Order: sequence, then structure tokens, then C-alpha cells
Amino acid sequence: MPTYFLSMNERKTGGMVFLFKGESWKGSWVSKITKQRAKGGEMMRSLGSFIGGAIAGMFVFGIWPAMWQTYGVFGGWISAFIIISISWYLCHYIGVIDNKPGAATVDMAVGIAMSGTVSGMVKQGLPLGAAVPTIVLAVIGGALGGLVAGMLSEAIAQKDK
Amino acid sequence: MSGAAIFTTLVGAFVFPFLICMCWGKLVEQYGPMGGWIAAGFIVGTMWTINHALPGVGISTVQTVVNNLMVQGENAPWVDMAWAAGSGVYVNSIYNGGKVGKSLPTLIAVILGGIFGGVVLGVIGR
Repeated sequence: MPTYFLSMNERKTGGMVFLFKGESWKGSWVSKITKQRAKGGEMMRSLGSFIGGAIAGMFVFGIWPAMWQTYGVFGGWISAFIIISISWYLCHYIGVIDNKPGAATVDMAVGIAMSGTVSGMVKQGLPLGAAVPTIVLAVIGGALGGLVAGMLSEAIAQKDK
Repeated sequence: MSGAAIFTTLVGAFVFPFLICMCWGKLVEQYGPMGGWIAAGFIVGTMWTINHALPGVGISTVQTVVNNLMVQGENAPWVDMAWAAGSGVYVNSIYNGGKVGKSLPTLIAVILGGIFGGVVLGVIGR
């Protein structure tokens, strides 16, 4: 990538400036490209969220059942160790899933949950309706767990003060 | 779904995001990315054992025949404990001041990605 494709800040702090004679920064072709690149970056982040959810879901439900069937319960435990670890590293440590500062966190678990339910519907043609009670209970229980964890960690932090 | 099943499902769903929200961040703070590996094994793996692998405990209240993948309700597609984790982490971060509106594009993209992954798995017969 040639240096004149660097971001606006880099250009202003001594990067090479390629402007035609008499051309201002505003409206120059370089600034247009920079803007386009910023827009493209946003799209790439959304695409990244899509890819992250898809990869996490495919890994979990492609590998986990096979490991469980082959090695029993410990195979399932090992599956968590080998699948969730790298999926988490990809989605959240590197940040393929686009969690903006100040926004509520979207976990890769959302993608995994979707994958599991949808794969059953596609493969075996099972109706979604039959799973709804379990889904509702799981979501309610999960929400309670997250809420209580938030309140409890606040209380623990206050104790330390 | 029996009363006991409702109760165990709620309990299993409660504990998983509770552990994630309490421990995962601290482990990563302390050990860096390897803390995430430890958390993946000891939070997700251990919770999976109690939620899905053992009959009559957690979300998997019906004994799942091992080679008939994971049927929990009567002829229902698999409901993973990830449902609980997703909603739990989301609610936890809302409680800590995260904005819902700002996260919606990501949420939609991840949901679509998950559906895509599920369709791919369904088509290849997993």
C-alpha cells in the first residue's frame, strides 16, 4: 500500500501529501478515497461479525458432537477447550465481532445458539415451535444470571474500596 | 415440559452466564489470552458437562441418545446453553451501561452469521 493511502491523521502528521497544485485537502481525490475507505471499514466490521458468528457456530456443532460420540463426556470437555478457546480468541480477543466501545456486548454465543437450533431445523426438518419453551427458559435464566453477576461484581468492587 | 425440567433448565441457564461474567474477564486480565483458553475449558467445558452431557441436570433434561444428536424437547431442534450465555452477557453489559441501539448492527450480523453457519451444517448433514 503506497503511503498516500494512509489515514488522514497520518497524512497530516508528516505523511506524504499528494495534492495537485492549488488543490485543497477538502474535496481532493485523496480525501474522497479516505472517506470511502472509512465506509468500507465499517462494512468490513459488519462482515467480520457475520463471519465470526458463522465460524463459531460451525466449529461448535461440526466438531463437538463428533468428539462427544467418540470420546464420551471427556471428549465434550476437550471440545470446549479446543473450540471455544480459539473461537473466543478470534471473535473477542482479536475482535472479529465488532463490539464498539459503549455498546452492549454481543457475545459469540449468540451465533452459536442460532447455529445449533437452525442446523437441527435444516437437517432434520424439526419445527422451531417445539424448542420455544426451552429457548424462553434459557434466555430468561441467562438474563437473570447476567444481571445477578453484574450486581454481585458491583458489590464485590464496593467492598474492596 | 415437567416442573422439574423447567427448574433445572432455569438453574443451568442461570449458572453459565453467571460464571462467564464473574470469571472470564478476570482470568484474561491475569493470564492474557491463555486465560481465555483456561476459561474456555473450565467454564464452558465444565458447564457443558453439567448442562448437556449428564441426563436430568441443567438444560438437557431428557436423556440425549448420543448418536441422535441432542434432542431436548419432543422433536425439537437443539437448544444450546449458548442461548443463555448470549442473553446473559448482553444483559450484564446493559446493566454495566452498554447501549442497546449501538450494538444492534453487530447483533443482527452475528445472528445472521449464526444462521448461515447452521444452514451450512444442516446441509452437510452434521
